[in-house]
This record gives sequence, structure tokens and C-alpha cells, in this order.
Amino acid sequence: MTTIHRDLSLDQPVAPLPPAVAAGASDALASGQTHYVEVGGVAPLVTRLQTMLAEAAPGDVAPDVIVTAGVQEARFLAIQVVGEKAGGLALPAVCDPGVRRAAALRSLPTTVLPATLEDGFLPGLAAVAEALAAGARLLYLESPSRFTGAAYDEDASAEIAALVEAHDAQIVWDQGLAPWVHRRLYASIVAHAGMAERALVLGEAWPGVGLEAWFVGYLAGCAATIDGIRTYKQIVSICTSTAAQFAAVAAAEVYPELHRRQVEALAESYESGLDRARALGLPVVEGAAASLLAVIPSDVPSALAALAEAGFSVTDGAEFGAPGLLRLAATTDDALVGAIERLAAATAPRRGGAR
Amino acid sequence: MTTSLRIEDLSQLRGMRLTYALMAEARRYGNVIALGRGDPDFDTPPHIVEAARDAMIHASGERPPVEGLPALRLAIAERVRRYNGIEVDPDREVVVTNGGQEAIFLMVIAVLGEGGGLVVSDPNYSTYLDALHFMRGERIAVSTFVWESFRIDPERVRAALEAHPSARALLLVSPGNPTASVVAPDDVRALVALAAERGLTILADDIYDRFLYDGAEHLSPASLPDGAPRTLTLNALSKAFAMTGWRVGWVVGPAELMARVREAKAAVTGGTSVVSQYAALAALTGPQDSVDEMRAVLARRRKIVTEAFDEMGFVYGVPQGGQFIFADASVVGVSALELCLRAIEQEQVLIAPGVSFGEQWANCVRVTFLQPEEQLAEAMTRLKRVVARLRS
Repeated sequence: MTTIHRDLSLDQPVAPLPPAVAAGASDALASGQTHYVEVGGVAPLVTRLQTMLAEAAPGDVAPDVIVTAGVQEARFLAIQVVGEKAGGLALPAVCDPGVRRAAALRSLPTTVLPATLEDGFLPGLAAVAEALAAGARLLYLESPSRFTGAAYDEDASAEIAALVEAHDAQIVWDQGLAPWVHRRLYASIVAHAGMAERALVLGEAWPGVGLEAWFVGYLAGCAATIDGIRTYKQIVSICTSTAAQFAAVAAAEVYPELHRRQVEALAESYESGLDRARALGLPVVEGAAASLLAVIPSDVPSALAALAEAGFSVTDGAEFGAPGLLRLAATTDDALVGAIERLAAATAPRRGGAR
Repeated sequence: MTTSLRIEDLSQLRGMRLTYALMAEARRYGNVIALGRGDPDFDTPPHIVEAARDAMIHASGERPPVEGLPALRLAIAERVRRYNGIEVDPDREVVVTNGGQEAIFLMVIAVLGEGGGLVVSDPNYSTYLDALHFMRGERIAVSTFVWESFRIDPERVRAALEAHPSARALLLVSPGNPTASVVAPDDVRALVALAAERGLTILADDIYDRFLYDGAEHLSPASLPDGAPRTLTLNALSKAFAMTGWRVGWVVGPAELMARVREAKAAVTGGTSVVSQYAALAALTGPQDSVDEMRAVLARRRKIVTEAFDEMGFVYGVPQGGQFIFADASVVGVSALELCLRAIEQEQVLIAPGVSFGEQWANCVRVTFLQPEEQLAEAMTRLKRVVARLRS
């Protein structure tokens, strides 16, 4: 029997690359776009990212944008460049492993923000306030959480913004999963007063349209901060692949319609997975993003073995700082429900007193 | 038009910041001939572009591992075996990077750790210093001289090591940037022996290894028995295949060091565009004649520049390789920075001031020969006019 491999370990949903996106990159190559380009990104892409960010979180000042070679380069630049100036950073106990990797590259004083399961592993306001009061001048937060999909709501993000302002601090805000928030409006930190100067937001450019393996990310913030980062971007990689950037330019055109359909399909998959998990008694961490679901199997090694046997790849929470949990990516087919059923069957409490 | 830049302002800038400021200034003018940046004017060969197009359709859904596609790593292993005599295991001893630039950054992080010393020949490509600065490392400079064609003398390296016990690594860029000097095979052997004696790691930058002139011979340190276990070697597709915009390079070396390079790669960028990787695969496994053709063209262009430099009285070392010439322009009577600025302002020629590589090179200029021959000849004519005005 052949086992079909279903990859539920992805950070972002995947889709076949739309022909128009490939054509955009191909046309750029044909017109000679094979040379170095501006460190911060080609103008058409920078403009589109600025527009996207302004629409997502209207503010007084249009952000400066720098295109990065994927979201990890954005993390690295934000953490190391801004972190050094701030004298260190405070980061969540549960976050993308790339955050800790970037912070550990050279010694940078780091404070860990406690995060509990009940809050979807988002650091609470008290933890944020405590870290700032203790002297932290740079916060790194994910909203939605890259592990659970939990996101700060409007009130919480406003309070975080106020705390940052009150302590004359800065904040790096990873909003890469924001496009998948489906049950309510997304609350970005930059929408709040004073954050245009203090917040640096990052994420993937148009996630879900098939560009994941092209590695196109962004960082946006005030001109002074972005200028300093641009210098380091040049040192790290000079510029981002031109073909990838022009593919992203073309992706911006097809994104709205494709994304709308994708969110609808993922939301349906997410809700089905949630219902099935509840029906089967599998504990879950309910988030705000339709792209993923964190679950709490009774025994992780058994769960991983059972899923692997059934052809599913998932993400072990230990990588994010959440041992004992697994992250399952939602897909536009029935794979999420299938994985949950397999998990529930494999890790259900044994009956009949096995000896 | 009069330049908006002032020497006093520019004097505050170093390295690529200075280069970018001059590039930005040049963009204000029409008809500029740019001889500043190392970006070949050639087109990426068509078979490489075609492979990229194919990958867009068929491979966009792939998730390349941090260290790069297995097929590309295999091709890189074969490439360094064939051209450099370096034997590596493609599974454990190759990491694909976002161009040679990221390769530099990763090598420095992986080898030096924080505060370590790096022995470099002076002048050298500014990114090494930037990466060193990032790691709060110590630059241990070994002087080279134009009248010695910027040779890195093993005895001077030994003396530098005596004076700086913090040294952990030795950088060898051959052909050199900006000097275009090629480290002679006997000197490579001596330096490898010295590194072995002192327990140093060697960082070898071979990015211009396909561009050698006048019978110059390039020897990769990692091809020597004592060099292999202690050398990280970088290269990239940018210069050889006119692929600067694709951002693909690599680091190869012994498994233990490469594990650290991979770890650093995961922390810095996490991956390399899959389409660029397939383009790189086509470059390495497809026809190589475009590289030979480019080298032949560059050899002719180099002559145009050296003849003009001779006429102007510029002093340069023998440019045995690479894609540029580094020359002392003291004869002009003004700083090279002013010469560069006047060249933009008066004749719309962009060249790089030597001060980008340190104060001690304030009288030097770096000129690339990456423009068509007619353009290059025109640029030299214009530059001669600038020099004549400044000297009069």
C-alpha cells in the first residue's frame, strides 16, 4: 500500500504558483533583471508592500519598507540591528525557533516573556509591563503566534502600544500570520498612536500564493530604523533575488482574490478540525488564524509516530518552546481532520487495563 | 550640473556606504558610465534563465532545506573538485547561500565567534570588515604594497600572528578584491603551513577564480592536505555567470565547521530561493563556454584600462585576475575621493575611491572593467580629461 505524504508542518499555506506570478518573474528576467538591484528592494515591490501595509493598518505615516530574503532575514535584521541599539530584547517563551536562533548568534541580553497555554502562548500584558519596567527596551512579539495562531485583540494591542510608548521602548511585531485571522478584524500594533516611530513589523510577502520557496519577506518601520537596517541588509546579502522580487510584484495583483478564496477554504478546514478534535476529546489551543491548529496529545512521541506512519508531517511544539504540543497546519483539503482522527485514535486513553 | 555632495560629508563614509552615496550621486546625471560596482554587464546565459523559468512552473512548491537543494550541493561538490581540487561530501560539507555576500558573513560568524581575530591582507573587500565588526572581532591587517603587486607575504603574516595571539583565522581572497592580485601557489603553501602550525582556520574567497590573466595560477588552500581540514572556501555564481541578481553562492569545508555554517545560515536567512537554486544548478552543470568567453573579453578590456592608467601616470600592481584594477592616483595631486567626485560631476564617470578600503588608500581608485569596450574606452577618455583639468 502506498502512503500519501501530507505535509502539515508548513509555516504558511501553500498553493500552486499562479501562471501570472511565474509570468511576472519570467518577463523581468527577459528584460534583463538579472543584476544587483536596490538593497531595500525594487521600487514596484516596495510600493506594493507599503500599500498593503497602509491598508491593513492605517496610520499617520506610511512606513519605510525593506524587502528581505525571506522572513528569517527580517527577524535576524530586526533582532540584531535594533536589539543591539536597545541593549537587548525581550522575547516570548514560546515563539518561532528562528527568533531564538537569530538572538543567539552573538551575545544579546535577552529577557524571556512568560507565556501560558491559557493565553495561546501570547505573553500577557503583565509580563510585558514587567519586562519593560525591568529595563527591556525592545520587545519581540508574534501576533498571531507562530505556534498557536492566537492573536492579540484590539484592546490588548492598544495596551501594549501604550506600555511601549510609556517606557520609551521599541517593538518588533511579527504579523506574518495576520492574513489568516478569520474570525475578527486583525489588530496590528502600528495602528496605535506613536507606533509609527516605535514599531517594526515583519512578515512574508503575500503568503499562500506559492512564493514560500522564493523567500520574500519584508520589514517596515520608520525611516531612521529602516536606514540602519538597510546597511546591514547590504552586508548580509546585498539585495534579495530579483526574480523573486518581480514574482512578488506579480503576486500582489492576483493576491486579493486568491487569498479571499484561500481564507474561506482554510477557515472551513480549521472549523472542521476543531469540531472533530472536540468530538474526539483531543484538547486543542484555539487561535485566531485559520492556517494552523495546536493540539495537546496525551503522549507526543506516540502521536508523532502514529502520524508519521499515516504519512503526516507536523511540527513538534518543543521546537517553539512548547513541549507536549503539536502544531498542525490547516490545508484546503481534509488532511487536518484526517490527522486529528489519527491522533485521537493513537493517543486515546487505553481501555480495559492493558498489562 | 554641480554635485550635491561635499567632500567633507563623503569623508565620513566608509566601505559600501561611500560606494552607495557615489552611486546615488551618479544617478542624478545622464550618460553615466559606471565603473564602480562589481556587476558584470553581460546577460545571464539563456540556458540558465530557461532553467529558472522551468523551475518556476515545476519547483515552486518545493521546500529547499537550509543547506540547499541536494542536486545543487552535488553540483557544487563536483565544481570545486574539478576547478579547485577540493574534495567535499555534498551531504555534510556544502551549504548554499544568498550569494557570496552571505557566504562571507556566515564564514566569519561560524569561525570567529565573538571577539576573535581575523588576519586580512590590506586592502581587502569591506564586507569582511563589516562582518568582523558584527562579531565584535579584531582586524589584524597585514600590509601589502602596490610595488609588490599587493602580494601577501607569509613572513609579514607570521609577524602579525606573533603580535596578535587572538588570531583565529586567516583570510585569503585570490584573485583579490580590490587589488586583483593572485596569491602565488608557493605563498599559498607557505600560508597553509603557517595556519596549520598556528592552529588557524583559513577563510578562502575564490569568487574570481575563473578570471585569471597572463598565465596566473590559482591554488585553493583547501586542495592541500594541510589546508583541507582547516579551510572554508566560498564562491558564487554572480561573477562567473553574470548572475549578481540571482543571489546564489556557497561555502564548502570540513563537516565540523560546516555544521556551524549551516547553523548560522538557519539563523540569518534560513534558506535560498528555490528558483535561483535551479538556475545555479543549470549554470554549474550546463555549458561553461560563456565563462571562457567572458574571461577573454575581460582580458581585452583590462588592457584598455591599464593603457589609460599608464598614460595618466597611475601606479598599479599587476592585475592578474578578477574584474577590476586598483591604482594609486597620487599623481593627480588631489585625494582620490575628490577625483571620483569630479569624474562624476564633470564627465559622468563613476569609479570607486580607495578610501572605501581604509584611510591608507586615500590616494587610490578601484576601476572595474565591466562595461563594453567602446564604453570603457570612452570612460578612460573622459577620465583623462578630468585628470588633465585637476593637474592643470
